[in-house]
Amino acid sequence: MKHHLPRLAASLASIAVFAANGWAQREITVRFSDPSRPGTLTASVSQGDISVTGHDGDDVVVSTTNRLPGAEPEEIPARAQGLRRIGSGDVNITQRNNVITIDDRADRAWTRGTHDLAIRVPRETSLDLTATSGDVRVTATEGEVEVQTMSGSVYLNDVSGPAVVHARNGEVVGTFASVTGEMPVSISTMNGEIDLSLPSSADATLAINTSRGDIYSDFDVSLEVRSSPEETGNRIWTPTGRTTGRLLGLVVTAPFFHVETSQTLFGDINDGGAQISLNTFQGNIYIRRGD
Amino acid sequence: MDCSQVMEHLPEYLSGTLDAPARLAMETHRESCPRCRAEIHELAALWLDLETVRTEAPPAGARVRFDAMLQAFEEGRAANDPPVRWRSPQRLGQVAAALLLTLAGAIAGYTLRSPEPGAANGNLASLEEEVRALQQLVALSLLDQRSASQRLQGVGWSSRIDQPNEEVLSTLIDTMNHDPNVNVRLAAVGVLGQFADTAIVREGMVRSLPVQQSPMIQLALIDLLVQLHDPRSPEIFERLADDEMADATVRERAAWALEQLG
Repeated sequence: MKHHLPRLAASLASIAVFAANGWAQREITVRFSDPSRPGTLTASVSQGDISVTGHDGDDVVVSTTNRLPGAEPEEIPARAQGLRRIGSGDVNITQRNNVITIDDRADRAWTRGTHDLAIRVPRETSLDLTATSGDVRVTATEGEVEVQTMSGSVYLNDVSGPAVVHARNGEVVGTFASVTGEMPVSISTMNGEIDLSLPSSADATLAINTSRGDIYSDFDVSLEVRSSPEETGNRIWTPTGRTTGRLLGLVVTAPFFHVETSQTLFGDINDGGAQISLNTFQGNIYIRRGD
Repeated sequence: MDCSQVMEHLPEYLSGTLDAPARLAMETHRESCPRCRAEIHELAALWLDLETVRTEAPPAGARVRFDAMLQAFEEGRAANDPPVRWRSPQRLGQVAAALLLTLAGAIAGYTLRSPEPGAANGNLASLEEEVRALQQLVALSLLDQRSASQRLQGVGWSSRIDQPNEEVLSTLIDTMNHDPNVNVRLAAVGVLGQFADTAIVREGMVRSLPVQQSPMIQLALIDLLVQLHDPRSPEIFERLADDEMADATVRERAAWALEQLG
């Protein structure tokens, strides 16, 4: 009995916390059908945040918090003793071909309040996350990251896979542990800012397009319009718009940076390499030297 | 039916093409012979495995592994520190694909860098044609992948093709209109801008603007169409500028675009 006391105290404390907030929290543990190779997690919520963190285990632990005011605190039924929760009516969790799919039952969401998802995944898991009104956070994963939000922001912290992120109205803040090879990083936001931190030794090629934003960096990088195949490996169709001068952070090397219609600017960080394309309409772009 | 006949008919049995009498004979034998039962069981499991291999097999990831391999090669440590886990036999197909890509890259590099392309002889010309065909194949297969970053790479590949064929251009137009990922659609718009001198691309862009839902894409298309001075553009800009359902920034940009053409 004695060694059960701390656990009992902890669960009483957590029930007290939930009761105080009016939040109900549930934890569901699932596994990829083939844990020997990296799986894919697809999650989509209409109201609420998604937070994904990489961990060392094989389990995918989905914790849902229902922020409906006055929601009942969660009590684990006596019959569930010794079992783990593998499903719930609040969120749909399905698995097929090593892809785990989670959605918050958008059809019911408006009657059930806001669902936040906090998910722990094996580090190499690839992620495909969609949030309509909430934020998305990804921490310490090494797989591919794909995120789309409407009004929420996206925060990537200590990620090292390819990333494709679109936040229509929110900002995108990303700290990359590494950028490698040709696996692309692509970030776009219409009204938000992009704040990106790359390892100081990263070899990357920037391709930036912003109509009204400015670009700042403490890397030794200068941006240019590349128009010949030798420079870009691409054929660039050169626009004929009027050009105006534009201040670009620390480096201003030419007056033709900004054309009336937007134009893609290229720049190499260190030796160039990994493709990083950044697109904003209104927002500024910040590219920082990390560790 | 004896054991050897069972083994002989096993493939048809597993694929379900064995006729009813033979099937019955086989099942009767299976019940009485533990050795055949074990064999059938094992092969059936393998059969199922093979089916999964077929659905999840290459070329998904071939490009990634190719990149990893090329990188390792460049760093001269492919032999003692392979960055890729080559554990399962189905990767062999991907290795072959990777080698093919390496070759294509090498030839492309050689031909593109040749100082006097005009002096290219017939062999070289046909080689260039092959490279282009290969590049188009790579672009098309990448554009068909589940992962957004691979489709982005597919868009990148297609921008490197000197004169992409109609299939590639139509696939890019399809990507611009229907890809589930905004960034992939945006990249497709950018690449299509490079090929805006092609009628099919112009047509695609003019048709695309009125049906696009994402403001980012609408803005990019407006900017491109302004530069193209297409006679069909003003009407589209005008309608977009008046569209109360459209994003305010987009409407403003459409009005601005209309002025530019006026």
